[in-house]
Amino acid sequence: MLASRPTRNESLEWEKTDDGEVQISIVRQETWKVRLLSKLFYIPKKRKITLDEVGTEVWQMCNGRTSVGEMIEKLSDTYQLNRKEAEVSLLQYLKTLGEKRFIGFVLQGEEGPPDPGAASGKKWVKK
Amino acid sequence: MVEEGWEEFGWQGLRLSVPADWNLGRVDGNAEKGYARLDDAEIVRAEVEWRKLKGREVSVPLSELVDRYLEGLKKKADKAGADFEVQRRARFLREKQWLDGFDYEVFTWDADFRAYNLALRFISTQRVVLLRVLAHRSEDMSDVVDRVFRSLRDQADAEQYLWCVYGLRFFMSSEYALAGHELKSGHIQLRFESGRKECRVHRLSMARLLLKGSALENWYPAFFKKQLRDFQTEITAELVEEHSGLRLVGRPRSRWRQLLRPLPFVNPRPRLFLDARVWHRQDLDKIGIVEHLYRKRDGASDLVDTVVHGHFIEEAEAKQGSDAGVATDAQ
Repeated sequence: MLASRPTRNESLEWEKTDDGEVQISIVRQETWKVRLLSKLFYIPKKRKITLDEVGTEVWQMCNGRTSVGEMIEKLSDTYQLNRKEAEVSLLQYLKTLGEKRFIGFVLQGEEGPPDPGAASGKKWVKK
Repeated sequence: MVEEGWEEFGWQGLRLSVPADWNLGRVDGNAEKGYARLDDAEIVRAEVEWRKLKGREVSVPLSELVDRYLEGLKKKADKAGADFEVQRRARFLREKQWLDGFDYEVFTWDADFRAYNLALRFISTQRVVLLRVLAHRSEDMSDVVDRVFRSLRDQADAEQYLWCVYGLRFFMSSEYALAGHELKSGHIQLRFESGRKECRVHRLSMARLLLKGSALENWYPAFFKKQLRDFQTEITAELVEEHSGLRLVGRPRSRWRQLLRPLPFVNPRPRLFLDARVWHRQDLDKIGIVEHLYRKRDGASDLVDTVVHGHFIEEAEAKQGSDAGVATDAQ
């Protein structure tokens, strides 16, 4: 697990706000259930999730090149956390992101995707 | 003082030094009987089991307790069809002079890993401790094992115990027994009780993010709103161990006001007084909180100041330890 490299879901749109926080846009799925429910209730076509400072940092590290182990080191250095504290909270957070299909994991030996958005922080939309 | 790259672990009166990357992975039990496991990034590195001997067990030789323990392990290994080799009275320690006078046994067992074991009976407390360090079979851990084993202490007959976990360290009066703990990432809380008195020690990480620029005196009552709802509080800004902090004094709210709360007769809340210190260590990006709750108006003591003084302050440890009568050798 620690050697795996989390990578962002390429179909997601995200951008950085003026406060430097990452905002992920989630487009409504157009399944028949959602379409039916949207007739009865208001379901926005797109909703935005704003990550806090730590979430933003983790998101930016999910570039397919940084391993979970390296992320733990980085977080424990930046926020002066004990390694175990950083590990437990990071793994929980990555699990949540994984369950929501915001990220996937590149396993050891596999090649990660290029990451054009990470350096600039500009809007990054994958085709 | 602990050498660089090493940290102390202190729990239920036991303390030992371990490499800094060995962190608590699991802890169970109480002062009488318990278990703690320390892991590094890869594997379980150390396990400590302790048990207070009672009644007839006191006269049972330690070697017999080790026999029973190894029999249990052998059975488990046989069931799992795993190889299991034991070497009793193993000679992996450089010298054993420091163990003179103790009832002890050193042994190893090999399965998937090699386990270096020290079983030690502390005579004064009649606590038997089994300390085990695990290593890959190809790894030479003899230096580390030697050092970890040598550092094992039982403070159970001291006036104060060192509690040390995830870098949080403080001395707590031995009158107060651990009544609960929450070891969450970013918020470690240990709750101690002595009769009807209670002491809570908190350490919050990522203080800058928590405070978000607000002052400690505004943040603390908001963050602990629920816990403070039964108190009339008086907050004064003051330096705590040379760091910006607060002194908080709480009195129980009037009985009339408490009567207006839902179901006051079914679940009446005890009327408690509160003495607390809160401080922000900017250099460590952490917030420390020590709260003492007591029933009688004149029940205040210097407990909070004592805990605060020994909290995080590594330089003070040696002095504090000797002042508190922490045994350098708890035999």
